[in-house]
Amino acid sequence: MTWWLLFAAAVLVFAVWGWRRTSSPQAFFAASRSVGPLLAGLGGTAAGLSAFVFVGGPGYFAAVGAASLWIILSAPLTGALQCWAVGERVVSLVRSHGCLTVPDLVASRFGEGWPRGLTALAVAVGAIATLAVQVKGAAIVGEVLLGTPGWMVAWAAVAATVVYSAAGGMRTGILAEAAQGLVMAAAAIALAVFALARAGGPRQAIATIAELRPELLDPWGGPGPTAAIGLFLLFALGTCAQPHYLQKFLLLRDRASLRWLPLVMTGALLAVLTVWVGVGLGGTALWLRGDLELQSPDQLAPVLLASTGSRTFVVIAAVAVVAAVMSTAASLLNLVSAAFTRDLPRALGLSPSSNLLAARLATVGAGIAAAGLALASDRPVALLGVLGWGTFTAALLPVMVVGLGWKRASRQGAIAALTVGPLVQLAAEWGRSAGTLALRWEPGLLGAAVGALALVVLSLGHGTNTREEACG
Amino acid sequence: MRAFTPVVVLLLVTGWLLAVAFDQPLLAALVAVLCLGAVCADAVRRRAPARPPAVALTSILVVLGGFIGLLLLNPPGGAGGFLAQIAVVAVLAPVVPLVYALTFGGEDRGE
Repeated sequence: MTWWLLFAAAVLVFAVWGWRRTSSPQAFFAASRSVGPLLAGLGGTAAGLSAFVFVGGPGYFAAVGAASLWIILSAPLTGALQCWAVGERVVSLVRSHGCLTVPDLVASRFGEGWPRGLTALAVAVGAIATLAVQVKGAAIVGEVLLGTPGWMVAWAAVAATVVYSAAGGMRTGILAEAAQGLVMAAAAIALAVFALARAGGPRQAIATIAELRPELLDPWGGPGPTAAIGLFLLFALGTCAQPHYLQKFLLLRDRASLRWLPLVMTGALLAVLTVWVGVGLGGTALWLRGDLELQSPDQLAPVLLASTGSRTFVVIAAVAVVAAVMSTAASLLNLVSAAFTRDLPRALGLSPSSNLLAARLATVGAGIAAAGLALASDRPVALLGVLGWGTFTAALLPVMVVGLGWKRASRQGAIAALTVGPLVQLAAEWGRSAGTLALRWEPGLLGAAVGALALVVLSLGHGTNTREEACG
Repeated sequence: MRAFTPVVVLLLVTGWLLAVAFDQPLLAALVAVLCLGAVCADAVRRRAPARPPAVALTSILVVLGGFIGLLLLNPPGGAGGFLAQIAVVAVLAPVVPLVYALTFGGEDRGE
């Protein structure tokens, strides 16, 4: 009880600190553009990784083995890839047009109305699905690790994040995310070392799996090589379309901050991803040996921790995972808030209020909606995570990479890409669930591919008719 | 010369759709590596001078493509494939962000 009270007090103090320093939309949505590469890199990594990596990743390794690693094999590339493909361009648009949000970027290139509105809609829907992953992850951790009802831990994590995000927006959000990123990295390395040591070391873990389930060491296992390469490409290119990643470029204080950003991002990313490989490998070996009993692969990490018998260790690990959950939630809450209070009104021709009350209330509403969705959904954590990532990729990849980079890209092309991409992705998701579409068709990539085709073909047909506008 | 033109986009998208439709992993790998190169190409082209980052990016893509191609053409048995995955991450992780930092220009040449 004492710990809960201390946690609540710390959150309140932090929220009050943020509230007093956040009085403008630029401070709330873009942390006053004051962030350097260290904060942006740690915060961006923490925002991008959380329940999916800690709970879904090791569980996915237990389910399909080395084939699961295609999701994270792009990790060495993604920091530089984001800067090369979109980051430099986004920083230029921030300087020339004063953009604060991802829909601002699209509107600055393709004009107001539909481009901004569709982007905001995609951000809001994908962010609430991704927020639901965080809530579900917190619920699993609470139930299995802490022995408390899952919904209680989920609501506590969401409520704390909502409080400081509603008070200080990204000004508090980026600080919390960076600190949580450090906690995640330290905890991930500790958990990986622990799991591998418990399994007798990496060599022994590999030998155990090779003896009992050798197919788990096949990099092309599961749905096959074409599907594996699809996952690799989805999680490499997809980083250029995740609004909670793109958002970090909007917070940077200057262009020079880009130089070392990939190094910080890659270092933090790899540190956290050790949990996927270490706990996946060690935990799977323990499971195959019969030392762990799982009811579903998602339970691998929590059950492994619970099996230590050390309450302190379990609580520390649970706090780290909940912190990871909260880090992603803060960015997503801010994105949803911006979509509903700034971008959708502007798309409809209304003037967004410079008063932050609406943005703060929208942050609270987004938290409640995501918690409700997560607790009502039966989809596993990994699947919810891929759905959110895929929606962002299908909707935003064509406009962010091709649209912002190609001068002849037209407004009609952008609107078509923003519409067709997510529709194709959702149809493909449904087709795969129903068994009518082969598993190698990755819905997010398929949506992005069709969206890119629509963008190029319509732009060639209409010629150049983009409308450069300031974001205001 | 611009690398990311409508023709390139159309070729890459068509190549990807064909690779998945006909379950051709080698074509899928080739398209994947070319996609990564294409999305970075414009930023690299804007560097002054452009040659060093272009050579570095090409080298990274060759290593990546070679790794995936070798795994596809000659799948190692036992733990070999898994260890190869770990090895490629260990090699590329420090190299790629350092290449970005060392070839970064304070201001680029613009469009």
